[in-house]
Amino acid sequence: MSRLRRHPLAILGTVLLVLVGASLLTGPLGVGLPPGVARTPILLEIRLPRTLLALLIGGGLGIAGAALQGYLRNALAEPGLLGATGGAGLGAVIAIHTGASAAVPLALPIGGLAGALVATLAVLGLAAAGRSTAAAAGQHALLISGVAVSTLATALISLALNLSPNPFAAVEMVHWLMGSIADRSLDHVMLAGPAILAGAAVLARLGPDLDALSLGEDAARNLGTDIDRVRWLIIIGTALVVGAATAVAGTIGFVGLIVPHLLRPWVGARPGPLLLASMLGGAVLLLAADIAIRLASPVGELRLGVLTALLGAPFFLWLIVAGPSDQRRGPLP
Amino acid sequence: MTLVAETVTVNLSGRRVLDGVSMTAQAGTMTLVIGPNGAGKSTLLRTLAGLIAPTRGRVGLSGEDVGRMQARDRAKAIAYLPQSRVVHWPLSIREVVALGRLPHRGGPSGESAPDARAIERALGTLGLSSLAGRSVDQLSGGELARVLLARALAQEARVLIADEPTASLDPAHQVQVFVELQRLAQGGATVVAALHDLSLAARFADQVVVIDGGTCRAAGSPGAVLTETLLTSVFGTRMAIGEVGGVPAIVAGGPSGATP
Amino acid sequence: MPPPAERAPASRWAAWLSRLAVPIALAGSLAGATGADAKPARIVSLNLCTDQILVDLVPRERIGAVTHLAADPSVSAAAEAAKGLRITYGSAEDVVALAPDLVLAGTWTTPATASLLERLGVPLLRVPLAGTIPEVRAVIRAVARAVGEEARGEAQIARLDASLAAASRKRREGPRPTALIYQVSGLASGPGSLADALLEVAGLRNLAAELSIGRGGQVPLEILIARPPDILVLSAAPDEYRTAAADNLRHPALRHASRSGASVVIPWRLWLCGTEAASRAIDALMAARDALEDARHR
Repeated sequence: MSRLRRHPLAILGTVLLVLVGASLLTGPLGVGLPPGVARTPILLEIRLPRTLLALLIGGGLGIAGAALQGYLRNALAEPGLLGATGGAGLGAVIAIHTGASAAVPLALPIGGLAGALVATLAVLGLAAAGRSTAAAAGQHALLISGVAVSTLATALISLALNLSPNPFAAVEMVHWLMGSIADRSLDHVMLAGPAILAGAAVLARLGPDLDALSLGEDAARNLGTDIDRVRWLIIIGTALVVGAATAVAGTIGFVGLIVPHLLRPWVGARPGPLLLASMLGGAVLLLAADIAIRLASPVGELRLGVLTALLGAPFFLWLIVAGPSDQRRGPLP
Repeated sequence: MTLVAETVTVNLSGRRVLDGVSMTAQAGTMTLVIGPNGAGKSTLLRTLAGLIAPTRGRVGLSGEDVGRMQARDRAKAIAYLPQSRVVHWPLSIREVVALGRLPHRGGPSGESAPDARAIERALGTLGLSSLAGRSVDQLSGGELARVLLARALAQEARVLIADEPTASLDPAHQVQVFVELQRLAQGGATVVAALHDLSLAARFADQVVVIDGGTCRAAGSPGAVLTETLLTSVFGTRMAIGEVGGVPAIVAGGPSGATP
Repeated sequence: MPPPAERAPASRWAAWLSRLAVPIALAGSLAGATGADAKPARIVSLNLCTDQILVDLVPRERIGAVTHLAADPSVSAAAEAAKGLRITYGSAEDVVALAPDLVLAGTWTTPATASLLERLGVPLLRVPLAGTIPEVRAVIRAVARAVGEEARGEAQIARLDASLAAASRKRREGPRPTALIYQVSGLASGPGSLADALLEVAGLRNLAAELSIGRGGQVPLEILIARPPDILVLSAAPDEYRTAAADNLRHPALRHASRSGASVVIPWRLWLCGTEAASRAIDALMAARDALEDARHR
């Protein structure tokens, strides 16, 4: 058992490979490959993009959640709770309904990116977060401003769709509020993939800086951390990941909240090593959830975003009530 | 390495916190900074550590401007121990001390042998070796203070700046910390610390710097600086200086007639 | 509002009952309609389907207002004719201010508005959504009678019947090709919908009845590719609807979703409502079917 503890990355990676195989073999007609000439297009053009998107989105959200928690020194942080997902949805909706994305496909992930950026800046600004104290007031301010920005973003999405002459506005809302990766194509993968990978790459390098921040901003700066640079990299990395993911899949939340918590007992409490582990863990979680959906509701009624919310919201409530047990208090008496 | 503040003026949020402060801390000496609450001690230490850029004047480390140094070089040269003792995640003692090696590490890759040696040395110096695996959220205040000091030691910097390293520690631990700092200074490091306990200052300092209202009121040997007249005028209360059991003792008496 | 009627009722009994509902509803609401002998001179329509029927039946001066959807070419087959007509969004206050002598409302129109209008004494004809060809005829007749243009109503029906007759004349022997109508968000038109009836008339078999369809009426793309219809019918051009929900219409794998390798676009506006525009849908379906069978016999 102790040997298992020592190689979390290898184990997560192996589980991930197994899940990838399972994902390629699972479809609405059951487990296994479909017969006949339909096999290749189904495998390559439907199941493969779906699997890749689960990996990209799950991994991206995982590392973004771990990075945000490390930077804010707050175990309740994750991109969705901080409004980035809502902002990304708004940016994407604007890109679609102004026709920008029809003219230039890249406008869609860029819209999502811009929306996520603005939302994250708004939340950080509102909460004046980044103080070196994890006092209760600071945590609550952060979460409340996250809720405020999320609510505003959702209201604006509703407004945009309300004003749209498009008869499918109501159907559209479902897409943005309850994310899904069903019936996506490789076009979506190409649209979101580069941005998500770029964002993850930006965040992955922040390990040592996040470790240094465990001691507070002053000590971190003394250890060589450029706090302003870290803040910008966190914002940009998170915006890239969340913006692109939301633009193609809609709202998928709580992955970034759950995964670091589950992995901390295993990987250790240092924020740095948690980054890569959370990326793998997020991919595992989302892919497993998507496979579960395909088995439980084959014709696609249950949406991925609903499942992650069903898992995540109770988890979040429990964290609030029980107190994030992995957070250190201030100086002891 | 000689740490020099040259007429340093610092404005924060529109308020003048330090006004033309000059002082010199020599290598191999312990300089202790005293003064009333709000006098600007913490700001002075943070400016010396390069965390604040002075509005006027400069801080030099063996001639080099501390503000112009590369962050990495500055991190290797100066270890700073903040006043607030906080570790945000339930790290182990060893993990916390290992953070002191961050300026020396090549990249996100793991520890090197010199890193491990420095960590072990720091742990041993402060008597933490047997506790290395324990999580910091199970420690008492005194133990945590030692752990954070060990982190600063692991940095192996030639300059150590500590802001109230003995605040809320019991007397035995207070002495223990200063004995350690003294040993560092005797080993050639430049040690600067701020503190409230004047008896400790009298006992351990090679140089005492008095900061009051953002200015430097006096700087010199403890005997020269720690006089009743000066202390009374600085602290606004009668101070009694004496000796108990061979150790200097400075205590506050009743209020004096002088205005603070 | 686009009606959600494109999916199969839960059971055969429900289907049968809903067949009965149309004539009953029409008979019932006619009683509440205007009893005057004079033709209504200021008619307001609160429903896209009645908009389209109305615009073809009466001259513009007699139309008080129609919905904003009437002039939207993506959903209205009478968009050209409805251009420039006054628009109402259907609030009771708005309607009363127009002082109509007849209001046409769908059964999906806000019930609160409709019953309020009735209480205010405004003559109201509630028109259900037509799900079969006989129902289409019944609806056209009811509206025509209410506006006093029976002759023109019969003319509309005659055009529809002509298409139907042409279709049945051209019916070929042998097994019918399968077809599936694939819409935004993966929705497929199931049995019991008007679209289904039109497929029947065109001599095609609706594959939706044989595939596993979710409660929401959605067909996963994978199932569509595993069991493709002979003819894939798309109800919109892929770029026509600028929404994320329409992404499935742009999926590259759709080219595998029909055995003939081709798909045909038949605009939604032709079968969204039970109007005589459905005859154009039938013609388009027949053309697709003919093309398929010609290709086979070559």
